[in-house]
Amino acid sequence: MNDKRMVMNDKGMTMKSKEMAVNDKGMAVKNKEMAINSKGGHAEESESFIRLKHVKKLYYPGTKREIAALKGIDLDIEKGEIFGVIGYSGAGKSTLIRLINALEKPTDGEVWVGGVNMATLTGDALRRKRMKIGMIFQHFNLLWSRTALENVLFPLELAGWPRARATQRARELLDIVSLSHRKDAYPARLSGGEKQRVGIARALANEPDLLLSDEATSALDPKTTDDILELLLSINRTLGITIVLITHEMRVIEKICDRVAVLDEGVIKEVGRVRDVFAKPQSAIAKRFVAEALDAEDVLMRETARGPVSEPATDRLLTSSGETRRWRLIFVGEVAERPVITELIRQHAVEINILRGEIKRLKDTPFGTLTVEVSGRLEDIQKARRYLEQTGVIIEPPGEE
Amino acid sequence: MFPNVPTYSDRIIQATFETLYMVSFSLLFAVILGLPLGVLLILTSPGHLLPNRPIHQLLGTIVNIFRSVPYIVLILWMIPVARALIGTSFGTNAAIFSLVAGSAPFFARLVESSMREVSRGVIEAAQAMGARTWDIIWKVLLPESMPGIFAGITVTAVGLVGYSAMAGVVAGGGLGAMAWNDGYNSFKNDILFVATVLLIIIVQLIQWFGDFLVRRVDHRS
Repeated sequence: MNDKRMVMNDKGMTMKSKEMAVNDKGMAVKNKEMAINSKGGHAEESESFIRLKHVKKLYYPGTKREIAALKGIDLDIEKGEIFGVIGYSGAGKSTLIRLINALEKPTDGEVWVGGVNMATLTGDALRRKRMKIGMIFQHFNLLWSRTALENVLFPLELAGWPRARATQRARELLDIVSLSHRKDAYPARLSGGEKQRVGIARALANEPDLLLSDEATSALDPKTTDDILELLLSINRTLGITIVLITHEMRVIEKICDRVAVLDEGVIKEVGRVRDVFAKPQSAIAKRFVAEALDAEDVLMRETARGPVSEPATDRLLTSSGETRRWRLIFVGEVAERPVITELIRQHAVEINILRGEIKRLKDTPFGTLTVEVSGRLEDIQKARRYLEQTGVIIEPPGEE
Repeated sequence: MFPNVPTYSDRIIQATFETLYMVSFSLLFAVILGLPLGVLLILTSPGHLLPNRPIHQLLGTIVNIFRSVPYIVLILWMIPVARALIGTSFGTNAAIFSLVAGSAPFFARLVESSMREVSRGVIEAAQAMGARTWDIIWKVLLPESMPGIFAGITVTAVGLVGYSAMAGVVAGGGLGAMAWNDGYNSFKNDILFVATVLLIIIVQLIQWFGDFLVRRVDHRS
């Protein structure tokens, strides 16, 4: 049932966006522009779409209860990308995302969104800006006194849409999230995934160019999480909406994010393309998150896999005399889809013993890890390493044998 | 069984109407005054939309004063007020003054507590969508706390039936006054009994209708 819905959803998306183009020409044009921007990799302005400059946030400043939630954040987020912020609870993620739509004001520093300093906006200007920034929440935050359709109508009422047009628009939005059949249901009667779909439809109501996701899948089971992430991804692709999300789950980052920032105790410890952070996490905290996403033991092994392995997992008699090394091979991109190991064995006088391996997709990038023991003469092991490094495989530990 | 009921039937009907009159108009004014008072109490509370400690404490103190004065004493205090405003301290209209003074602050507290149940997240979501404070009051706080408010109106109305019996004794009118004057003081126990039964029926009907309304507006489950 769920599978079917998802398949329909994927197909439905293109159809729906076509309908939307008919209904709302202005929007379609805007989307095209955005698509060009996101593909070209640079926005119209030389400035980033979202820019945080030295942002600090203190709660209860000057009192005994003073807490520094953010301790000097610099961040640039480009138009059209899906940007993830990952951190454990208490890291400052919630504060960070709320700075972007000015639900929180920075104690120090500046927050720029679409070329506007958010601190300069008040009253109606701020309200209009917020209407162009959709937001979805971990606990959905729907009005239980309203049906699904009426919940989607809410932001349209706030924006002063005439009733008939608003209803029409709300129906289309529920269609986009594949929830037309539940339009008259109250939130209490909806499943978690359905509630979040209503939340997403509501967030898209006023044609935002930015969507903020506050742990939107954290209250959902893994299958529903995937469905919702899939939906967010297709919204990003078909409508060109920039998405900034916060999460504590690496699963969310790897499935849909282009870039990720790792936040810990109010400081960004690492920021970069998801594939790079997965392949070579720099900070201890990033390593921990990657370890959780891959195989915990596998990554922790990176710390210990220095030098010759004392106890090979296989019988010594089966391996030819010589040296043995334990390597962790990391394949990022198309190299993950090539028969690298087969070539290695054919062309080199080494034996390969595979201890464990894993392949996953980081959004569009294939990503694999393989932990192997390489046995043979030192010279051949060195050649094998050079061969692998030439094909683009990352080897841990790095260096010479 | 009820020797005096036939002769008193007109009086009984009149007293019933007086009670219903006092209760419904007091309830109306209690809601008109108590609802905005309750909204102000919640909005000005710490950490809410318009936090304002002085106003919050002032309103809270006024509400507490009215709620801590025993109703029978409140009746006495409202006598000069009624006299100043409508020229008399006697009759059902005058009784409404003390009834409102006794029930509006109580109802305001009920409104405040049911609005406190509206989650911060929902209010935040509305703010993120660009809602004004005014929008949040009308489109979020009020509709989302409707079951609590209807339950509060029901409790207030039931309380008013009891208070109106007391107010009637002092100011004149209603089933309470009939039970006291025509029943107890006139040694007509059947009148006392009929007044009691009618009060019970009124309370039951209010409760039944209130529960019905609460169910109608409650979509939480």
